Amino acid sequence: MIAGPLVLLVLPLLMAGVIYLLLRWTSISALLAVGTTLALGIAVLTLPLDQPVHIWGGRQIAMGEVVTIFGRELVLEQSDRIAMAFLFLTSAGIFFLAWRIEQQPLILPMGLGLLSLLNGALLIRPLVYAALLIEIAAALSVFALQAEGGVLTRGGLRYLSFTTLALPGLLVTHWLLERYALTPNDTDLLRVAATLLALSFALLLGVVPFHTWVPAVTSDSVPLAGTFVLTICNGAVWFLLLDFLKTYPWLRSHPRFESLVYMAGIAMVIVGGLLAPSQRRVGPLMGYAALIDSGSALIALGLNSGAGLTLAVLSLMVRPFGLILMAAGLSGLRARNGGDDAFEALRGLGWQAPWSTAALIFGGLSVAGLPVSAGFAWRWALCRALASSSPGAALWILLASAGVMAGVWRALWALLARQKDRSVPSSPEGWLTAVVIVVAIVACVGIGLFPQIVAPLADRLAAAYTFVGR
Amino acid sequence: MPTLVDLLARVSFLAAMPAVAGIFVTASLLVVSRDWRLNVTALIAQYFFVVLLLTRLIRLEVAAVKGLTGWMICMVFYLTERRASLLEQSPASNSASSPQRWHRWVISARASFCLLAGLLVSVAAYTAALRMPLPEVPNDITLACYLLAGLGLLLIGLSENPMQVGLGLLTFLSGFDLFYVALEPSLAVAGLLGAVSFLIALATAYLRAAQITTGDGVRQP
Amino acid sequence: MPLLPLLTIILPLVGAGGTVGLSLLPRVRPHARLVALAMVGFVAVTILVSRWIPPEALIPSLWRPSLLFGTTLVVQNDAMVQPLAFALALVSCSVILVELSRTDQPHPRMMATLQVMLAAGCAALWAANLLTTLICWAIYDLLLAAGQVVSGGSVRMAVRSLIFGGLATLLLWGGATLAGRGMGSALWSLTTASRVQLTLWALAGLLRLWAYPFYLSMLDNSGVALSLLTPLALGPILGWGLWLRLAVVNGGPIPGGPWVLALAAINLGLGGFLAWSCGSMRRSWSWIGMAATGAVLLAAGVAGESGVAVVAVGGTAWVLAVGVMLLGDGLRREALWWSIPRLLGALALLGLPLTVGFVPAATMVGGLVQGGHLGWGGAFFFGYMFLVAALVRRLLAPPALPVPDRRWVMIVRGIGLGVPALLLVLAGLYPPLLVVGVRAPLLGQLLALPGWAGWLLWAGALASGGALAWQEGAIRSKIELVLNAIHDLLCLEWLYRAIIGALERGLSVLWAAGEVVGGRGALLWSWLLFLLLLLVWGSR
Repeated sequence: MIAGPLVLLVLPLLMAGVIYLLLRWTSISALLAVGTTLALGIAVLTLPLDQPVHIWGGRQIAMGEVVTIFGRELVLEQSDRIAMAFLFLTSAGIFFLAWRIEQQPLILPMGLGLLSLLNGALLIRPLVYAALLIEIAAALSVFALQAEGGVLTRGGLRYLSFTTLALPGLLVTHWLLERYALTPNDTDLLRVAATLLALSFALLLGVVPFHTWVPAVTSDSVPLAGTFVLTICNGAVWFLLLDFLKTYPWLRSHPRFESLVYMAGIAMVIVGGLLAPSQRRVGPLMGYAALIDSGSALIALGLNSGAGLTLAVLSLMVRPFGLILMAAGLSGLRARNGGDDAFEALRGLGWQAPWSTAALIFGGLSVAGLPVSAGFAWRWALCRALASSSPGAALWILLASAGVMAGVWRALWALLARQKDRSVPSSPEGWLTAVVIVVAIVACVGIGLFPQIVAPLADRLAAAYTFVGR
Repeated sequence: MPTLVDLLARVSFLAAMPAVAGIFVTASLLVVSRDWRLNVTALIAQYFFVVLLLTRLIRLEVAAVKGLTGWMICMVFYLTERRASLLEQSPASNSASSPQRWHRWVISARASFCLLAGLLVSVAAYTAALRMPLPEVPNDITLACYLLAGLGLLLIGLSENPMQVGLGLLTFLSGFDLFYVALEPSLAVAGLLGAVSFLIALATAYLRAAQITTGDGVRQP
Repeated sequence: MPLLPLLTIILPLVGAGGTVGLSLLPRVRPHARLVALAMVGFVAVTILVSRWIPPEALIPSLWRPSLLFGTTLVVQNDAMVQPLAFALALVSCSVILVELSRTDQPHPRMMATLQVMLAAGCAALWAANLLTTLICWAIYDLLLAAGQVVSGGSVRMAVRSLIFGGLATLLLWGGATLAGRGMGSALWSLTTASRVQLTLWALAGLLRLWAYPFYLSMLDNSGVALSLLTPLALGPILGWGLWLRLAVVNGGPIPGGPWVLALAAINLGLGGFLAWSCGSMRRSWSWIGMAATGAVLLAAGVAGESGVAVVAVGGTAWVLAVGVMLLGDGLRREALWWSIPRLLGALALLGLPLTVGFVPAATMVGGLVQGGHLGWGGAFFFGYMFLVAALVRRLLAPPALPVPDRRWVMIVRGIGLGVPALLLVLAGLYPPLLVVGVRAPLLGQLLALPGWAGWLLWAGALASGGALAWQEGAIRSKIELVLNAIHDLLCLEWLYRAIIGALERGLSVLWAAGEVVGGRGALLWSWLLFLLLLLVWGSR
């Protein structure tokens, strides 16, 4: 009988190796990557936890079987299923776009390798090892973020630096909590553990003032790889945070929990909202938009209620729609502009790359949380939840959305400027690229109009984290 | 032929304040220096002193393995930087200009700033070691941990050069590792931390190679 | 399944797909417009029929879980906005008919855009709650911008329309946020709002109406025929829909108070002047529309409890009149009857008796005189004076289209121009013909509204305008330079550029700060800021 957790860890790794060897045949590599992630995503969602399932040749797979490696357990719980399905399906979307957008997409094999590590982070018990696996994933992501033959980017290094700095806090917290279990009278241990945990997650999530890695990742790294980091790696960190809150309920009931998380979110929204419209390049604009979205999710978590948790999870689920589209647009524009994404340098390029422009606009709408896009549904729900308790926060979020859109409209203004000729000749976008982008846009708008496709999933996932009242 | 473990056992008398002093000197050298040869040498020495201190907290064999990992990392750095320096060398340059450049760096404002900053951080680390001793470890190792963490952090923050940042991250991790082995002696964690360090080295080497390939490898003064 | 609202949205979309699809086949390409005509005509008939059918609510998407979203998408064929929707469909139909008569070029993209905009416009008007309104507005804005780009219009204006549309959306959303827990849950007909909410929504309404100073000049620098640009010029219809909703929410009068009336008066006065002083024939239509908007809004403001009826009739009159004016052609001395629809449109914009525009105009004049609002009365006088002169100038302009020689062309163009013009007159004779669900005053009541003073004021304005039009050539040639300077000053392009420049300077400070904190030494800056925050928090 094959243990399900092993399949979820080993298969992506194996396929990563195969795909790396086949990388020069982009279509085959992409097909394998998309197929693998889709199959695993569907399998982890649909296969039952409590009984084995026959697959082929008399073999059985048991998703709920506990695997022990070097004395550490890998356990697939109910909450982990939807989380992992989200990681797999989002990766499938990224790989699908990478197929047409990137030349030789290293994100395909690296992404699968990262998925394996992040899945391990979600499955492994105790949680301390998750921190180490996330750190390893951060180190590996540098290879995907740095474009082959491209100019040195600082995004990967900065992301690695901040993740490394977050590692000690998480590891020491584990020890402190073990000590507390032995000496429950020593409440100082809890205080120190909470402080270290807060600091570590602030570094990992890009809370102000540790936010500089977020725009750095999108600024000059490979756009889809940056999106992978901001959606999937960041998503794994969020699920790790929720696991901590579930495992240690005293964290959530700490008197400062709500205010701290709320203030952290507000700070991210305000800083992102101020800096987004001032950007002169599309890359950092995307980063600050992601920062605002992340901050809004923290505000939702700070509500400390079932609805707030559902909203935070929903934000994770819809964020990829916008960021993937923006990354696809950014990638297409940079490829036709010699790697330059400054607004001034993009003048008139929209006429030669209309689909990339459309992807950028719809992606921007979604990340800003404006209608009609996937991001709007979750922002609407968030503003509604905040309307009674903190209308000021809701208004700040709306203002930040306006800030992001100001940046996007500036980009559009430059892209659609009518220019006779451009110094850098560009190749036209193929019909297949257009089809892929249209599919992505339709998916984004579709979720914006029919959020009931993902919202119940978010509700189910939030229900699996039983640390808040429903 | 004595094994690595035997060699470590022979020099174990240094596994106290002399090792801490050695760590202080090597870490400070990493902060101030921009010469890759000096940096790699300092890192090798740093790992040596860290391993010496580790022998007081964990088994000799495990400490030896950690040391080996560190020295392999130094090898990665050495090979990368050697290749980079070969690619960067122009025909017009001669050996006489290198000492001049080093000389200029030593007396430059940036070097002075780095030195002063390093001293400040060292003082802060010393104060922290006195006021906030780390649990489960002796005072001198506490000081070593704070020195490595502080100077590593400074090194990360002072430069955007991949190798400098890599050195800083590894220094920081060494400091943390020195403390954490006392809390969690698990081999799995030790192995994973070693893997993390190695991957950091690989990642920074990759970025350094990218820097050289695109001709962006102009040395910062 | 509620058929009616569904048909008005689905049919134009099907028509757009059919138009584009047929245009790809060379054999049937010339007939692609017939598909568009059939669909749009059917929609117009459907909306007309909806007058006699009770409202039906269509839920295109059930947003679940309801605890999270609080509401869902609802579209309902509300009797209140039915006249606006009908006017939109009718004008769209007329556009296709005029195009059929004008040229053999099918313009499939513009035809498809027209139909999709009709669907979006109907959806926005039928939107039964705030959430649906927000989404439909966003769709309409994107289509409007796409239409401008497709028609070869100014990219600057396309982006500006997106910006203003986005701002209006945010204002509407922001106002809803102030409602607290029940944000956006209720249908429009059941919504109650505070003063602050209504103020924000009124601002959104002004943005949607393209009122001064948030105007949008839609019709410049385009190589496409003016008639094809008509759907793009009808964007304010969403604003009229919103003002109608706001008047209902406010219990009859339009919300906002004196500042809305002041802005309306400014729109009327300045719109008229800018229309007359404008050198470009195309651009002047935007100012004429703006002046007419100001007139209707001012009328609704002074109407008090009857604000709903004034907005319903005035908004519909605006759509029909502007549509007819844009579709019509210049003065053709050998065939004067072709100028009649345009003349009727002009008369409706001026609000003269026997046209539907008389309803808001009479209400406005009567309200100004009875209320003793001298300032607004002055704005009315000068606005109308210049508006008359501008309209006369446009009416007397030489025609751009050739005289139709074939019978079927004549019939088609005649129907396209004649039906909306006829409606302007019929509804003028019997205003309740147009509106449902609100009490529209009868012609006799309207004639008595202004009183002697009002009639004198009105006549004076019209006479002055006539005199100005008569002496146009002499006056304009003497003061052309000054006129252009004042026109440019009042257009506020310089102000927008200054504001953008100031914003850019301010933002560049933020950008520089971001580059410092996020550039070299970012990590050290982060830790420094963190320590500062700790110190501040620790000291509290």
